[in-house]
Amino acid sequence: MNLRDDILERAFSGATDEFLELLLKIMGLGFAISNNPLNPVPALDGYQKHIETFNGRYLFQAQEGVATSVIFHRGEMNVLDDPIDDWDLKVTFKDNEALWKFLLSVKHDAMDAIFKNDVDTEGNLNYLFKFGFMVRDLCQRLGVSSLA
Amino acid sequence: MGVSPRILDLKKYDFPEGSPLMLLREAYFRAIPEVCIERPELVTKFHVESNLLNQETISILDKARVYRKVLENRKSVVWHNQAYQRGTDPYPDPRPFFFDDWSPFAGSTTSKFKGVLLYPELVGLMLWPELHGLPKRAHNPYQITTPDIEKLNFEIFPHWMNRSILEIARVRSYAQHPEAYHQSSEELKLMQLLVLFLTSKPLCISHTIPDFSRAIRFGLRGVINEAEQNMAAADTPAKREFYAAIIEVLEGIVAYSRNLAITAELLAPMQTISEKKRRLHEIAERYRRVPEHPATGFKDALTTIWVCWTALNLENPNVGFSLGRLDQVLYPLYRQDVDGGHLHPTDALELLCFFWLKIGDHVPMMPEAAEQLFGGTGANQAITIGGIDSQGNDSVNDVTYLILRATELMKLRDPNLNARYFPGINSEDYLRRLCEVNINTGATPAIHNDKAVILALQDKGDSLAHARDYGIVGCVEPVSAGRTYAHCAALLVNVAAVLELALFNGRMRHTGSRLLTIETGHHGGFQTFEQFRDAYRTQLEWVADRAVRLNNLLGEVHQDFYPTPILSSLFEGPMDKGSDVIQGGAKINSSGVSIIALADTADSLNVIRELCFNPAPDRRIPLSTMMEAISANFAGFDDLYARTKKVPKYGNDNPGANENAQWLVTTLDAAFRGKNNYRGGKYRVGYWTMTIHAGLSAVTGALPNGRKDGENFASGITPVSGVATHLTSALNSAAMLPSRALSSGVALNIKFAPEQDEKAMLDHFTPLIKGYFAEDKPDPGGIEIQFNIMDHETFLDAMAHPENYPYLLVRVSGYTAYFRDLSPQMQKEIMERTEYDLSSGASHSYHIDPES
Repeated sequence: MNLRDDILERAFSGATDEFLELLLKIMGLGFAISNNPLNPVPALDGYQKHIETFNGRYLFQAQEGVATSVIFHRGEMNVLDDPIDDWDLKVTFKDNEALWKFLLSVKHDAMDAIFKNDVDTEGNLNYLFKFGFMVRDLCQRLGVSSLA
Repeated sequence: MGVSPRILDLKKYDFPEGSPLMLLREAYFRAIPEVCIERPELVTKFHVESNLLNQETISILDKARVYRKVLENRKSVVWHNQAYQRGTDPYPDPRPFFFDDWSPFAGSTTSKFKGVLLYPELVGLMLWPELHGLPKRAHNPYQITTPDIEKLNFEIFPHWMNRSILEIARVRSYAQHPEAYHQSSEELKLMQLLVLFLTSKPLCISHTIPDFSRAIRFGLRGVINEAEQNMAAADTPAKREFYAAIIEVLEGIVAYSRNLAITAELLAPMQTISEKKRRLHEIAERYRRVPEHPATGFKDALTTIWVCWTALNLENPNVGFSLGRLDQVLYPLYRQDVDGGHLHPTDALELLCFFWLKIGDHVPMMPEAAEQLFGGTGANQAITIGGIDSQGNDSVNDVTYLILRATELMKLRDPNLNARYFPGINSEDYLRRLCEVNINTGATPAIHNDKAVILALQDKGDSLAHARDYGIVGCVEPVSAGRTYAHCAALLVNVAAVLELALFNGRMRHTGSRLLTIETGHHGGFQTFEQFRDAYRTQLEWVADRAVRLNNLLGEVHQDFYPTPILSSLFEGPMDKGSDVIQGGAKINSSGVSIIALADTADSLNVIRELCFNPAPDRRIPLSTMMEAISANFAGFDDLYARTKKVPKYGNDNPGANENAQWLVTTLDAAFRGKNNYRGGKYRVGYWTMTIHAGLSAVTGALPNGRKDGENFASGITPVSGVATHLTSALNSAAMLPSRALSSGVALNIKFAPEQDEKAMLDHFTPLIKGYFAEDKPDPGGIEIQFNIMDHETFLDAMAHPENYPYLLVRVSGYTAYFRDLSPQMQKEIMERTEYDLSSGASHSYHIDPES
């Protein structure tokens, strides 16, 4: 497995404590590369279109309190280590594995995570669906076949 | 009403393999559903063009104009010739295949041969994250093209992110509490737990039966003329607007029908087969006449219903939307055609079979995440046959028998056939035929006791004539056909979760110490069983109150943003009142609640009464010990577990054990029946659990009745599997439930092993149902019964080799489904149902190892 595959595997497998951090970094890179006229990754062509006109504010909060905020605004994606108040969607999760199941698993795990109270959402769920598509589209483009 | 002897002979009539009908059926089963973006694309376009998505409310006239444009602009597909089949290793992507379509019915619900309808106004956006993976889903794959994914992602879904029904309701729910900005209401938070109650309003209302009789008799032009007259005489602007909206949508339906006629005319010269050319010309001629003008024959009537049905599905999600008493609606024109020598019964049968394939031409959108609760569901389009008419006369007729044969021949999941039987008025031969069709299909029709259903509907205020004219909605819910706007599945309530709230003082095990509802007493404080049951009742009433509040809030959002002019144009009441059905325009208004886990909860109450509040102190165990035991999944509590199994339960035909089930049913009826819905109607309670009981049981901990973690809840009003060791005791217990409190329908699921001697099986089958439905004053007998007739080995083989059983039809708890499409948990539930020997009544229980 080369470095690229290793990073992708770690980011999308959920088997890491850094799942959310890695996921957001790769998303951010995806948008940046896609937006670059010298885009070296043809598979990412047009990926930036997802956020060209999209404004959305997300707060991901672990149950123990660690928070990550993601802001999409005017074609930019910004990740903050602090919680924001005026989010459109807030996702509170027990641990990274629960969040991974909620966001990415292709089985019934998303529902299971809610049933077990491992993940809780507040706000506009349609923003979750939009975010989910952007993540899975990235998987599709990068050839993470287990999820695409 | 008599039945022609020659109709009875048709029960052996077959269509040859290779006939256009059977080839189309083959293509139907081969085809996987394709996501159709035609509706969401057009609906979005016209909402945006009219700037409706920025308005605080959408008027019925604006909505009607949107629907008219959609109807005028949608693709007019006369015949399909291409669909997709499942991919197989090493090529998992779906593959196209081609076929010949000779259907006499042009048009389709979507632009696809078998389509998935999307409603972005409702929960269509749930499919968004899964779009890329749809074709490769292990369960229920959908075909979708990359350009369509792009359109949904960039051009359609973004417009609805802040305008879906649930999101509008969420914003409204906290609008009165600005300090709690972003916070969902208490009711929404409770629903988001998913285990306590659900409301289906974010997904649909539907769940009703339109009135096709006026469209058939007067044609849509006749209804338009009536609307014009009413508009001229209307005394308020709101009424004038309503009638103008009716005219808009009906003109839209007429335009769609004309477009189909034009397309058929254009296609005709291209045909090389003269019979196809002739059929296309005939379709063109017919679609120019109906539904605009009155139907003059049986085929016209079916065409009118079909075209109106496609339009109704454009407006209303295809969930439990039902066709009503088709044998009654169709019979006059059938009789006229046959007596006039224009129609042979076998031709009528063929038309019905083609019609069945059309009815099943779409499936509800099902995201992967919802598969656990609803996997395998069809659109649940119920058709009702038999019973009595509004004057109390036998209404079984030739079309009743033709519908039974069509169902037997087609063996489709949709439509979901329900048969009415009035003991003493409908013939025993008819009942025997219902049993025979059940044996031949393995799963249909469900059989309803007219006497009990009519009394239950009268108890809720329906007049005798209206109650007699009931049809079945969705799964098994009876409503007065064409005049009751019911939304029978408005709420789904898990009464086992309410038990947990009573035991844990307003908390649930999986959410820890957080108070979810109200405190009704620490377990140590209950001195008597009655005190504990009072706590249960208080929790139930609190939950009922919140659930109703949420349902009404969502209903008000529907009223403001989702007017329903098409349905209102085909319904009894709105044309007289000048008011949309969503505003209370229907003749009868009600909302329905379906209860999950009745038997498990009743049995748990039995065990708590017997073991924790036993009058004999030496036989008593503390309630706290029971709570420890269930929290430990009975690990280390082997003796207690064994004692739970010995307590008499619902299904044992033990009056003491039945008492808690009767108390629950009565208490639930009392908790809901007095509550008002947002349309001026009341709530009605039913017990049909679809596949949800299996989904919820997978995430529910152990219960006092000895049910361990993850074991399936019993379905509908069916006793817990293994409890009723003899068929008679199961039926007697079910028949003792107070039928007046079951007005929104029940599902009693009984499983039989097939027998070699079919005649002997039938000889036992008919008396069994008569016995279950027998009146025992003041009780009118059991209310409904439905069957699975399949041996256990076949189910095992179907689970191991689903590819060999693509069409194995089963009854879940309510509707029919294909076994292959169900979730593993639901497959297990069906296999573990007590299997009875029809001749002896003896039972056999199976346990399926979850690891196997």
